[in-house]
Amino acid sequence: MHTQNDVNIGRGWGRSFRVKFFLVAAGSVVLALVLSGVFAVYNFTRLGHDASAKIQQGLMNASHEYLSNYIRTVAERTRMTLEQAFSEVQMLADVMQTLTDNPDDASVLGSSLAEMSMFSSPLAGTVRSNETLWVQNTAPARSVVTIWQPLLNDNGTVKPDVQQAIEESAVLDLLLPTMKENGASKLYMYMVGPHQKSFLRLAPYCDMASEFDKNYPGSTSADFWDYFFPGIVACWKANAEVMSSEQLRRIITTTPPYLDAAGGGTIVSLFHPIWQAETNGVPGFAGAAAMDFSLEDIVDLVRDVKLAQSGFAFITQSKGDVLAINDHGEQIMGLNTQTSALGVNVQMREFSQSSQPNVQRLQMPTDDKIHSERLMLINDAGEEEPYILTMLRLPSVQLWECNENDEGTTTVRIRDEHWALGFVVPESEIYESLSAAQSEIRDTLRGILQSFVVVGIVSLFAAVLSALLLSKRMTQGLIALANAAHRLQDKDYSVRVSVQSKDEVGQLATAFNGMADEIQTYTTDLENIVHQRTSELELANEEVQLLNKRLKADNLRLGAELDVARQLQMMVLPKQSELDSADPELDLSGFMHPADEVGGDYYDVLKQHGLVKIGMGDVTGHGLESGVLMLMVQSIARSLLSMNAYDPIRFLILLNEVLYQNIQRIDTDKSLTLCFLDFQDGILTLSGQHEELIAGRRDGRIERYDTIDLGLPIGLVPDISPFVATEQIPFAPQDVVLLFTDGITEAENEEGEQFGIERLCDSLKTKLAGTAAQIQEGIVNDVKQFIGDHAILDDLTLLVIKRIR
Amino acid sequence: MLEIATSDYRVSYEKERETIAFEGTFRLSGSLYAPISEMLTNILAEKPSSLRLDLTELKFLNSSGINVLAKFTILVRNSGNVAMSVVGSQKIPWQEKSLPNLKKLYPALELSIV
Repeated sequence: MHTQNDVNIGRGWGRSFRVKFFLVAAGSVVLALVLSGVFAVYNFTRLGHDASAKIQQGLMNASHEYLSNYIRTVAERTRMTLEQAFSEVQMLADVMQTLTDNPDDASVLGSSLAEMSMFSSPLAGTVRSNETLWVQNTAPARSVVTIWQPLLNDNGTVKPDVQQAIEESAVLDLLLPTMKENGASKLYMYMVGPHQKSFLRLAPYCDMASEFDKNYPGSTSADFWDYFFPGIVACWKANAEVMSSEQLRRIITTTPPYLDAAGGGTIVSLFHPIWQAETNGVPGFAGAAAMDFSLEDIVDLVRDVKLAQSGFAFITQSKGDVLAINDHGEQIMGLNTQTSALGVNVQMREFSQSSQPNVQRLQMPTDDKIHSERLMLINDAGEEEPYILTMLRLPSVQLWECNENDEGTTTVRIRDEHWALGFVVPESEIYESLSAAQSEIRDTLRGILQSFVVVGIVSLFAAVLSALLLSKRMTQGLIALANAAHRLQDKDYSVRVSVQSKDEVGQLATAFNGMADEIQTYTTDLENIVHQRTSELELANEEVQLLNKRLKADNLRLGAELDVARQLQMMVLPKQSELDSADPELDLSGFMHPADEVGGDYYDVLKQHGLVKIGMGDVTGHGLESGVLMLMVQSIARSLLSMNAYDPIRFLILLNEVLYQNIQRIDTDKSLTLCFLDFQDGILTLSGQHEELIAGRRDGRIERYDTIDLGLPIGLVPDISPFVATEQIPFAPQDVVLLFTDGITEAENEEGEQFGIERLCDSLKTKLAGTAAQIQEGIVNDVKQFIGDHAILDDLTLLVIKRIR
Repeated sequence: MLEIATSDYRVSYEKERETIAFEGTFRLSGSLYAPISEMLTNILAEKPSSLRLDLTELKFLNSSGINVLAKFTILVRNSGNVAMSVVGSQKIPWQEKSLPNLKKLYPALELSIV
């Protein structure tokens, strides 16, 4: 039942169908939007991630390739620059070597040239404190010839062998200025004589001696080699001892880079020693061709290397002394420049002295492959920043090295030196395009998200609007129905719903209207209907009452009939005491079990003057008439016996005659089978037509006596005299005879099988030794056991007669 | 063809062959045989020249039923000029015992138990 409360709740916000529909529709849209948004963002992010990875890999490869190619190119250019300088020195050395190898020709050439104005310029000594410090030719000249104090006589004149050597070298004036002006970028092209003749011929012309005196005080009074390049000649000589003459002609020794004293920038002096004919198996040192090679070209080359925005290049010696790097690079790498004042001013700018720990640990390449690694450098903000370092070793040179250890001992040697070229590029700049791409992806993603939000809001709005409209349309009918139902509940049966739609709601409305019609009709006509039904019921009741009365009457009548019939039967049957006292020679036992109704079975034992007459009969049918007929038979039999009708045949004929007349009077169509057994003087006389008689002898034999020819059914015809006969049956002591009705033999079990005469005989046979009562009970038990649960269809009647003496 | 039949028994009269056949098991109480008696009486009322009772398929007839047959036999006998024959079966024990009674009631009746 709905209470008013329920209705209110049902109409509430939380339970409204419309709200539910609306929530479901809107929720679906939101869910779909969120899901597709998440999906799109996920996919896009993944796509971006993949793209970034690919771009990064591509950039890595591209930058690596780019840096590799670039560094090879720069290395090649550096090598070519150096190569040119080397070949120029070699050229000069070859000329000098030729002069040295041909001393006579050189001597003639020198003498001849001395007379030519082009090759000679006046020598002038520079005197300080009455001491000639050096002698130098005066300008203008193609080259400056500087003769240090040790090469002078005490009077300030040039020693003769020195003078000759100078003259012999005058031919170089043809070469030196030209070589200076052309080819590799160089400060000076010059030659130096050997010890004792270590004058200097140098182009272009300048006041070399004064420069030296100013920048290297004391140098003018020392041997050139000993002062500027100590040990170098000894090293050459040591090498010369183990080298072939051909190898010796290819030796160019490089000094470490140093600052030019005359302000010419960083330079490297290249020396090619000249050898003269051997003395004592050892080649003699005959001076050197030299060039002060300006590293500016190479430095510019390296400084000009542009790598991304802030990438830079450097050239370093094998020990990590950086030859060339731009200021930015120097700062990034944390380098500082020191100057060693031993001999020439060697510039020291070593990685090992760097303020960057990772730079300190840098290893120079030891093969000719390109080496690339990630270098973490600390920036100004103190943070580590990744750089890509690419390095390539340059071809070797012979380096003169002069080191001073802590004990003040100087070690000099010449060894193979490889310079290395390095590129340093910030990783961020290499990946700048990647960052740009990633940032673009992020921007795009943000854009997509924004459009998603916009689209989502618009979709949501549209969905909400359509859900509202649709739900309104949908629920209109339902609401109308619900309201109508409530009105119906409030007993307003005239309510009808107007719904136009053809859908389920429309069908529901039609059904509802039909229902309301019916309810209204029923409600209105209920009184009439009840009245009509009541009348019908009353009529039916009357009929039932009438029938009941009749039934009661019938039942009473039938019940009364049955009672009377039963009483008659009880009255007619002999009592056990009568049976017991019938004859001392006989033991009798009778049994009768009526079927559902009282039957027409009959048995009796009559006694008259020593005759015992035993009767057994079966009236056709059941009921009162049968009972009455039985009573008549009994009465007639007793009457006849009273009138001494001893002859059994006569007895039966009279009995039939009387009974036939009575049957005619009561107008029934019943008859009966009836037989009598007379016992007199130890003889049994059987008469009348009935079932068979069974005799059990004391020796166990069973005999059957047919009664068909001993009579005719009683009451059927007025005179049965032609058919009546008797049969004598011996009856010795211990013999037993059975009389029974067909109820016994025709008793059926559940299978419809009849008990039959054979079973009856067999049953008797096993019980002959017992008393009449025992035999009777035994047989009845056998019959009942045979019947089992099956209904007893007819009266069962059995009479056992045993002769006991 | 006249017929009274239930699931248990059947009585039929074939006019062409003037044969009344009893079949099945009759275990009715007395008054319930009335329709059968009436049918038999009606058949006789049509005055057939002869009547044949075919009982070969009559498994069981209780004493009331036998009584009906006996009465009918007497009726036929009394009607005078109807030749009557009865055919029974040896296979059904009670017939051999009870049917001779019919011949006793109407000696002209032809009884054959086959």
